[in-house]
Amino acid sequence: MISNEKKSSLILYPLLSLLFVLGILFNDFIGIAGIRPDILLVFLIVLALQESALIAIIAAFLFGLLQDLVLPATLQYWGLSALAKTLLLFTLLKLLPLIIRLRNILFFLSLFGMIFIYYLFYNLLYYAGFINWLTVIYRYTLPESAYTFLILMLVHMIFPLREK
Amino acid sequence: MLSKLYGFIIRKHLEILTVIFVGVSLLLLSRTENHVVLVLQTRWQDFSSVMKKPLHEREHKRRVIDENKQLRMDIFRLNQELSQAQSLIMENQRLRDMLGFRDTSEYELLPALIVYKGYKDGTNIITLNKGRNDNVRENSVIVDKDGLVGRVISAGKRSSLAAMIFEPEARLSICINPVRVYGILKWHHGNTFMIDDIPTSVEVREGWTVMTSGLSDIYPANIPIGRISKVTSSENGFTYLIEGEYFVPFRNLREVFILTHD
Repeated sequence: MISNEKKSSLILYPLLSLLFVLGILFNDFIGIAGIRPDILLVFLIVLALQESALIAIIAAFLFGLLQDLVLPATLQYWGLSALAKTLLLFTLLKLLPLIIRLRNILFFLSLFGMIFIYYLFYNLLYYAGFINWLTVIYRYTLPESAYTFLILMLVHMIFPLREK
Repeated sequence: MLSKLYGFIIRKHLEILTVIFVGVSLLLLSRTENHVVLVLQTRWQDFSSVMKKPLHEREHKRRVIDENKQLRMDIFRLNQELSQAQSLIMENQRLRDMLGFRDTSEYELLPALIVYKGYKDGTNIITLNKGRNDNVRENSVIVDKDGLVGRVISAGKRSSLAAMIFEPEARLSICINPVRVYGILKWHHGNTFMIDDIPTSVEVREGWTVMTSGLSDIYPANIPIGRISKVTSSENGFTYLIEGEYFVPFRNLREVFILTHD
């Protein structure tokens, strides 16, 4: 017999993988005013909350590399996504015992904070020397964080994140 | 020693992996011009472009349709502006010419605007924006910078109805310049007229001008009407069949002058 948790994983991961592939393939079509969500980030956060730390950190690095390889926006920054995602997952995994105990609103706020810090780090490096940091925050970091967080919330509505 | 190291690795595997991954990422970042990576990226773009092609084409089509719609609107707007500009230029020219005409004219001229040209194309009845309040009376003569236009047939307080001279039943007493021969002018067709009562005993040539004779109770003398374009003999041989063209482009009239009675 397959447990309910396993059944849920059997649906969740293929679904997230499909979303990730679709997100990569059709990245330029899901943007709103140039703002695109990072579906891989959602995938990795779910992975960190549902699976072991080892799997999550390896996935963050490898999928990050894959994302850098295939997304046109990162042609000159191969490794940046892997670096940012590895650091994010490491921080999230270290803070997870604390985060998981937080009440609902604080729990989600901390997840949004994680996403925001990821984008801030990524965008500040990506746009370094081209756009000033304040513009990076309000033009890219905040909207992208919000869009990605929205996707995370949609996933949470179907597969609650704290059922580990 | 080894077991201690093994224990350390087991305990700190997350930190160790993170350090390795961060190191590798930084190494890759420092070598962004890596040829293999570029080839892989290019091949991926080739592959993904095939997958994206239908969506790209759809997006492209949508953009083209939107752009086309916008361009049509722009063209319409620009045409309107162009038409307005051309109309203003022509109006300006007409008014300038009229001012010149007024300066040299011996009559008291009242500028008037044609506010209605009839519900059918080619009608000879027009409505002017001047009436009795402006001293316009029935049979007041209407002229344009080019010549005679017609007469007022009914004057209201603030507007009046006028008949242009190309009505089928109209007859005008005329004088052919420079020989000063008198005759009766009738509308022929379009913007042309006909004179058929000038005896062949006098010389009449193409290109000569036709003016009002001054013998009429309505029209004063020497208002230009048109130019002779064709001169032939009638069947009986005693008179000419003279065809000519009006000076005034009746269909394009916008403003006129009314000769007012002092």
